[in-house]
Amino acid sequence: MTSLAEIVATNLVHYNLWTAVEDVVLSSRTVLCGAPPPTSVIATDSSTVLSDQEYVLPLLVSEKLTLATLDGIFREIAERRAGVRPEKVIGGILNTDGTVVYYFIWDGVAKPRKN
Amino acid sequence: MPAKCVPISLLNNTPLVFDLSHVKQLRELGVCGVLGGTLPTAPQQNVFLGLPLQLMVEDAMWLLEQKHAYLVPGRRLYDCLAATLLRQDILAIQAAKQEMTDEKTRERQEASRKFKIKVVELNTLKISKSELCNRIKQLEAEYLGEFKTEDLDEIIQDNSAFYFNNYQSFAESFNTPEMQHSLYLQLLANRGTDLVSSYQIYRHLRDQGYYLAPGLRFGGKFVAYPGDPLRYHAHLIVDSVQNYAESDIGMMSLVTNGRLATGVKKCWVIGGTKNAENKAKGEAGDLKTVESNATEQDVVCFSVEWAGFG
Repeated sequence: MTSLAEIVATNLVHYNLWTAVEDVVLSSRTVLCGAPPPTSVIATDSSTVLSDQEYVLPLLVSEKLTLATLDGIFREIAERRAGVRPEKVIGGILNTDGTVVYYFIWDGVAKPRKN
Repeated sequence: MPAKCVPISLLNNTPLVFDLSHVKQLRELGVCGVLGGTLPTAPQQNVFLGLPLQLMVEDAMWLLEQKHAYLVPGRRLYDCLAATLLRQDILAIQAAKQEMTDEKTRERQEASRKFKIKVVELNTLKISKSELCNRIKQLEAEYLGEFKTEDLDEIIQDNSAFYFNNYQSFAESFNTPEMQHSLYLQLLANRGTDLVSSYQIYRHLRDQGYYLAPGLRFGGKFVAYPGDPLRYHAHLIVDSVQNYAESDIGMMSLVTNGRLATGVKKCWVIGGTKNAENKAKGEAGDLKTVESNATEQDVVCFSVEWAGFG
């Protein structure tokens, strides 16, 4: 059986044209790290520049998500980046029909995009 | 308490403000509230609403914590108390007032007598006319300053702790720690234990300069504006969870709220406090509990928006 992280990684690479997608194994779960395609493909504005190292948190639509879980993931990623918490992770939510939807989850209070 | 403190009327456990100058004062503090008063003759019209201003419970809690306001029972209590006065009560009050008036009158006569003596003394000195005027003015301030106002009632009222000439003095008499505590419990009475985390998020955003308003129109607890709502669009739709470790944010709620927020050019903020749970157990209605919760670093929040792909 294919794991949640694998399905989301496949979706990222083949549907959303990400490159260099790798597993990042944390204590509680596996997250993904990769580079999104050039910003022209993605409907974000100039204020949200995606780096070439975006973290994607694979989630099942049926699973329970708490603040503690999210906080823990930011903390564990920070441990791998000299203690610097990433400013966001991208939640990749998988439905049973294979749909994956992506949501930015910013650490703290973020300003909305200007567009 | 400074006179600038705003009285918040508590009617049916709902915090309301009835005075326009107080409404202005609160707005300058970043508390906007919602106008809710309509016309008795046309209660159906709900487009142009006026006083009173209804506040959120969190608004009231914040104003109380910052010592910008105090709670007052509704005016109805004052009217009821006034209605239950017996004839002898009124006579007793009048007698007490008469006594105070007499005493003040005596004090004033005495002060005025001393003032006149001083003025006569001044007259014997050889000084210029303008100098004389100045000296008289000084003396007047010294001796008669307290009695400048013609209305003795006004002077007496300041010294009176026993009865209330008007609603304002009645309201102010509730500004004592004991009364405030019991009114505070009333304020919280209609709300569950979620209030603790909800208030923490409210204060967290207030501290960052956001103006908060009720969030129903965007499906959240609050909407947050980066300044006065008359000048800015809201930036955030705010929700809170009760328990940092246990409460499910809900994947569907993340998607629906995140998508709606992005659709209206906002972010969805979900927050909570690390130790809200044990504090909630320590009775959410306890003024001391909520106030000692001022540990800002306990607030954890995340902002969600649609990624723009997938």
